[in-house]
Amino acid sequence: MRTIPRTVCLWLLFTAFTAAGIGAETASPLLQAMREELNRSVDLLKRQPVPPYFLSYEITETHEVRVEASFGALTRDRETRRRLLDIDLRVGDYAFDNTHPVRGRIPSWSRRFSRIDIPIENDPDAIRSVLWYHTDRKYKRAIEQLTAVKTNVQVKVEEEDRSADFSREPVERYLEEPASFDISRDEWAARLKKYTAPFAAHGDIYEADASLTANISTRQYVNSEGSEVQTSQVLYRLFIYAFTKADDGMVLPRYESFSAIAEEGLPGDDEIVEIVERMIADLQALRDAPVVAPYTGPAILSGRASGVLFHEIFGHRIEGHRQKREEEGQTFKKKIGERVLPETFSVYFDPTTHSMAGKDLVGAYAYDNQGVKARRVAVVENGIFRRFLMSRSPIEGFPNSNGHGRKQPGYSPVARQSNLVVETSEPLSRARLKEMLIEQCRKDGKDFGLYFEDIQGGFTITGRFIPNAFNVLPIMVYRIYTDGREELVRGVDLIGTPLTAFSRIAAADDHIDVFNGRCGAESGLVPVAAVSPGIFITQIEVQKKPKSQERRPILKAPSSDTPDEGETGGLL
Amino acid sequence: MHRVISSLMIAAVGLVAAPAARAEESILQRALRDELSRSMKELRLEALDRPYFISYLVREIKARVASATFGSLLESRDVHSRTLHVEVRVGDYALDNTNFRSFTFGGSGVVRMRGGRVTLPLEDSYSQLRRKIWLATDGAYKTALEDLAKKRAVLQNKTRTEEIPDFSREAPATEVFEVAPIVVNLDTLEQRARHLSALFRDMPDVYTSRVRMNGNNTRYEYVNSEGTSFSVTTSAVGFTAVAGTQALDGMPLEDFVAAYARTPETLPGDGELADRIGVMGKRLSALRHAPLVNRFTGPVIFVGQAATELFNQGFVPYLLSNRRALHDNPEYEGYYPQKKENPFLDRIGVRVLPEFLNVRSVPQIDTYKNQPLLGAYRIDDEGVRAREVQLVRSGVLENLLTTRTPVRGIHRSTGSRRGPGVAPGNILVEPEKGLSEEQIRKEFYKLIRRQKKEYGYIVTRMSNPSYSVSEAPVVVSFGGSENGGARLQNPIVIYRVYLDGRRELVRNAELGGTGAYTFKDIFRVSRTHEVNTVIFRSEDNSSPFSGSGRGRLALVSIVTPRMVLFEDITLKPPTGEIPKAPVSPHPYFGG
Repeated sequence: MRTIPRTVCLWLLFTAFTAAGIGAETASPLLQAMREELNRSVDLLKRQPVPPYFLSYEITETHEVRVEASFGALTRDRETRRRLLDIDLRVGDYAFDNTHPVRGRIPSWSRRFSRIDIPIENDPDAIRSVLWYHTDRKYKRAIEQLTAVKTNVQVKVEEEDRSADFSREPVERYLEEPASFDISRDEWAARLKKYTAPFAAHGDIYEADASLTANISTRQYVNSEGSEVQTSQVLYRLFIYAFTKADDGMVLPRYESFSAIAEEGLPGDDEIVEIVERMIADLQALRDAPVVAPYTGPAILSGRASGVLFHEIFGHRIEGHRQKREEEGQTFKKKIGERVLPETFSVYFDPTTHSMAGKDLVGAYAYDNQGVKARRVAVVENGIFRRFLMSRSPIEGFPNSNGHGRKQPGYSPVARQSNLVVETSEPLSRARLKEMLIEQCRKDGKDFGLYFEDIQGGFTITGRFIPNAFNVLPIMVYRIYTDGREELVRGVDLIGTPLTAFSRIAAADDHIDVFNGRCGAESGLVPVAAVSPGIFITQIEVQKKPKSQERRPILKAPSSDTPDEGETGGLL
Repeated sequence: MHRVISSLMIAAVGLVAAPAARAEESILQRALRDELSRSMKELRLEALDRPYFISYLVREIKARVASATFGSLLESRDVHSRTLHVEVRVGDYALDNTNFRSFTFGGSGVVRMRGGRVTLPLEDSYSQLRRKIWLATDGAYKTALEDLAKKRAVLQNKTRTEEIPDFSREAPATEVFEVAPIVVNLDTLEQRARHLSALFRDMPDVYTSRVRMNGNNTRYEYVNSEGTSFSVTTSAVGFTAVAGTQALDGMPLEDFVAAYARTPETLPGDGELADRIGVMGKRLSALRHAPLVNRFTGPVIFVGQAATELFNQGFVPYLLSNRRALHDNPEYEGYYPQKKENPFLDRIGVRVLPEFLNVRSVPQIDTYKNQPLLGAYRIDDEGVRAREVQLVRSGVLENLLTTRTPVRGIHRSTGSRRGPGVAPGNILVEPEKGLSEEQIRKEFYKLIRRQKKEYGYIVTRMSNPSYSVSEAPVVVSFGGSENGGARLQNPIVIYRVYLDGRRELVRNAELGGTGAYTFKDIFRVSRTHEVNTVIFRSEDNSSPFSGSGRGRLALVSIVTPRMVLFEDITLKPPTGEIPKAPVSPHPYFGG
């Protein structure tokens, strides 16, 4: 079975964060304990026949409040605080170490994850005991790995990319005050119940959930090169989800999500109530919308849809480490300096930008998970492809990180996206894009083109073993007829192969919008954003959405004329 | 504080039962009953079968957990969840949609249910509860219809060698049993976890340790279309401490302390728990310096906790019936191998233990000779009342623990459905004639001499995978081993005992070549007894996820003779790679 996709990126519609406090004067007690234990370990391990040449500790503290309601009733209300430890211990040297990729082995995602809990209190003795115990285990495994990769290199053909395993980076010192929040769970429970209650009046809406997640993520990082980084980010995200079913069984969802760095940044009650009404109206409209047959032809993608398209077809293919793994497709590896987009298009990644188009960007951070300072990376300038997103894993021609080594706690960092920004030097009006679409339809002899207004996410496969394709999952799609009429339709996914799709991008408008989400790949889930104007594509392809074969419920929704009494059990 | 109302209704099993509504029926109970009765009356897809049975089980848990290491808190949680398990059966008792696995993913219906399970609102809002129950029932009914159709198709192409009904008929029962909810203060849990975990700061020989305290109140609400219903609350508190180190040659050593009770007041106090942690620390220190076990086959006594774990891990799994599900795709087994069939299904009426041993399942009693039995329960998760069952009489297997899923030869439930599968409650292993402990020792020396050996071994402590430093998923079931045997864990504390009475601690022993039939060869047991309560993971036998660490945890109390003597048991040192000792000394203790 070789059908294990290298990268499947699912964009769950979830959102947000932002950076908090400014410079802390001194390292926290936690960071000091980490530094002391790290120095002690390095000193002691130096005496071993194969000493580590690099050691880093990262402790991620997550303090999270999560409240959920469904159809006007509370379904979850919890607060958690935990700390996870990640250790990067390397033996060998920068050029060749124990993390060198082993060729000819089926990649496994489960093997990548290791969860190490570490105290949520700051007693240095307790913290250092856990650090010591796991450093020892990690060291022994690194020695084994080094032997294995040395053998692998000897028995396999010469590698195409012979760049080093680890880059040298400047020593950083950056200390942010830990952030805090003051959030009323009761108040949010009441608000979420209010938001989801209106759905209950509709028997044909089968799920209607709202959740609030407030999260402080505080990272403490030290390494043997001398870097010390402490960052603390707060994020609030509000998510509303509902679905209905068409008569043919198709599940029709609607999602709304909001992200903010402060509670006040989330929309107010009145605004949400209006949005809920619109969601209900959209769901009713979707049920009656016609199904689109598989189709190729011109299309307009809204800023959010275009952002996801760029994230999938382009973003994942310029993640640096993929250029040296032999099982990867390496679509853009040899395209440096070549034109990949119209001259009017530029694309960059900028983790240092916190908001655009009036929205907070969740892919922002000050330092990446390898202690490298975040920076703006221009990847396409005036249509010309310039560079890759880099972690500390160098590739041919790119010996250094550009601050994109990211991960979820428990995984090892690889190059990942941050805030993707698509820019055009010639923004047209949305009306002009529509005219271009109609012109293209006439030229191609098509009755209509498609307009993708909202999407839930997408995924792509970057490996070589199965065709290198992408899939964007739309929610609200309209047919635009040559007479200008617009009609809501349902039942299609936007698909294609990356280079073809890229070559058909023709123009962009001035409606810039933001998609905030979480991206999943081999280093876990990381928050990312995609910002783009609406774009016109001369030819796209849509395929039928996988459709549920289940009928709608047999019995009608139970009548809700019985009075409700709120009565929460008092067990504890 | 106990309020017990129970009645047994011996009545014809009607399709739609309408027991008189109790005056104090809760909103949740009313929502369950109303949707049940509507579904039984009206739920039908065109001309297809109506449901012949529907049940709802709601399990609401309020739990608080705190864990700590080295005096510092690792985690502190407050959990509240309410889950509905729906069962809809179409067909009839002889042949229905169950005991069948189709090679498809996900559930069916608008609400996709995994294992017929959905989350309910935490609040008692009648209309919201009804809405969730309605959609869950709809999904379960559609899945049932599909499964029955597929199952009938599969059966057409197969010659069935044995006809076992799919569902047992049981007398309807009602039960209301409420205990006063325990008060679990999270701050107190945290303080105790910190305090007890700080004891390891005085144990330089322990490399890693973790202490966990938890308390929970659980409420069950059950109703089915045969007229059975129950409303039961339970509470439990638990304490565990795990510790790990390495011997001087690097071999891993682990030990644990566990204590459970129904209320915080009856759990051992900090003083006693601290003593037990201290004893464990001393054991680990001694083991680090002890010599490695050598390969040995000969007389072995299991004493105390080791005797109870021996039965718990090596014998009790064979007392649980299982039924392999029919499936519609031969590849299915390749992806999700089911548990092996329990070999004891063929051994009813056959001797499985020495003649002097009896085994009873006694879930209905909550003490044994003044010691609490924490595996006790009143009624099982299918509404079958807990009752005493003689499993082994004079060494001969008489019965297995069953649920309402009949197995070859046993068509009635013993009331042993706890969680997704069959699970024991309290198990008593009792001798008809036990010897005094002094006599056991004499017999032991006699065997050593007869076998012309210099020594035998005494095992006083066994490991249990539920209490592991690595927190790996726990699997206590028929594994993939060829003989379908339950796996015995390794002894922790084991002494080499010479003929002159000298005792020498050894370490890292593994048991070789033990299986279900080892127990037939028990040579002698003592008349003294030992009570032990352990965690059991209940799993659905035929679930694709069986053995993957899912399922539900239940407490099981097991009582066995305190000394169990074997004529010959094989002990051996571990094989495979041995890790090295730590490269650098512990930062707190120095080196």
